[in-house]
Amino acid sequence: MKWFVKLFFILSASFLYMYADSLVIAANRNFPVDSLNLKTVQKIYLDKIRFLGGKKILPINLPYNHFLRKKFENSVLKMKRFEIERYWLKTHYMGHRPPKVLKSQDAVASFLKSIDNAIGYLEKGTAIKYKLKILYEVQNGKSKSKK
Amino acid sequence: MRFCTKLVSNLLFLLLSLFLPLKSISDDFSEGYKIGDNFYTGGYLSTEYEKSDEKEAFLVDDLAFLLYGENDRWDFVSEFEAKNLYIKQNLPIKTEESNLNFSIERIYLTYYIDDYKTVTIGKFNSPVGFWNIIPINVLRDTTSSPYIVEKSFPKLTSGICYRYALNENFDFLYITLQNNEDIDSSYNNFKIKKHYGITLELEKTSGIFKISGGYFKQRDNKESIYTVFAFRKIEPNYTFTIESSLNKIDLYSTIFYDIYLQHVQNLNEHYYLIARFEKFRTYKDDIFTVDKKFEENILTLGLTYRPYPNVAIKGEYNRYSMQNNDKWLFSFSFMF
Repeated sequence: MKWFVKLFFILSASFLYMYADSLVIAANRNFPVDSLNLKTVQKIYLDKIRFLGGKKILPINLPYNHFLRKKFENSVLKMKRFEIERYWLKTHYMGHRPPKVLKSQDAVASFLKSIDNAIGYLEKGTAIKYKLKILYEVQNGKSKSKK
Repeated sequence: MRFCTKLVSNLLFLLLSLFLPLKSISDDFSEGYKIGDNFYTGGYLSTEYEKSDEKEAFLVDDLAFLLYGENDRWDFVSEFEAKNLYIKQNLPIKTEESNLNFSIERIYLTYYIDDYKTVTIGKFNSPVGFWNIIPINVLRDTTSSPYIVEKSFPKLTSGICYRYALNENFDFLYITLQNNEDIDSSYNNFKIKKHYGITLELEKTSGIFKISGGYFKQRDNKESIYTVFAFRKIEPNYTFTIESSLNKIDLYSTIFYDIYLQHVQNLNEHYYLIARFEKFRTYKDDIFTVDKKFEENILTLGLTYRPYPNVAIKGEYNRYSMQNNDKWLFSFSFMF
């Protein structure tokens, strides 16, 4: 009986994962570029690149325990949580700051809507709902650049 | 008031953390303290215990405070540090000393010219290799540092650094220029009055490469040229680093060299096993020695425990092939 329950949960989780909304990197329609590649997204979120198209880019994070942040860290930054923590500690020594944190996807989407040079990660449905420009898309852990 | 509350709560957290079961921290903890809209402060502390046949010493070797900030196109970073704050030595002779003099370790402004170019003015870590960029105990892998960062090139530069991104992959070229006698030379390894350097940093799928070359002149007019090659590969379970240098000092006919290879194995998110082998040929400052050069191999084995990202408890053993300097080193360090 136990194995049956386990199997049920594994299959349910796999099903939900397959049909989960994809994660996108989105920005305001006036954002200076139309697409980003994986390396550039990583470098913006790790504060290795600060300007694009002559404008200072403002990356936005979701809260520490938000499911989408975990997905973003795994599939885009490709770093474990403790690696990211150590990374930000090193940048603290070098005078750099981690991205600003907003509490929900709706808060991020509203912020992106009003600030031209901010970018954030959201579920695709949320980005479409707020009519944001999709710069990069990750679906089921596989990344693809938005053409 | 908020600043004080956060400082006290973080110190309490630090104390409690040593006795509580391990868990993740929120991303708020390691960010330092916000002052006003654009400025932040923080710092770090490091204590060390050394035991060998010849020496036994306990020291509070670093206490430093950071103040930094940014606005649209400017970054400002400063670091004030007291080294060897307290030393208590039992061997070879019993001594006890303290030093509360803070010196300017770093102070600089960075201006972002455009997407690809920045210029930094002030006193900063020379952009050479990997170890030299993040040299503080809590952030580095072992309590001891490889010899290469002490003997090959100036750790700190007081001048200008121009950084240029060569391509869309953001591979960087750094040009460093100094033509003065340091903003504060207290903690620089060479007392220099000139330093001209160039560094190329390339990020490839196989790892990060850094190639540097430079010239520096000390206050006693000794002139040196150096070249440094560094490579780092970061994988989820390990980090592998090589740094090597060649340098020539005008007084000596010999070319000195240094190379170290280091492997850091992440046993899990809290424990790191470190093995480093370093081989070098350098000069002796001892005026009574006829043969000024000597060669050495150092094997370092260490274990680092990080209960939290900003706390490091380290133990290591250094084995020297020539010098009678085999020792155990233990340290506790944290950043706030």
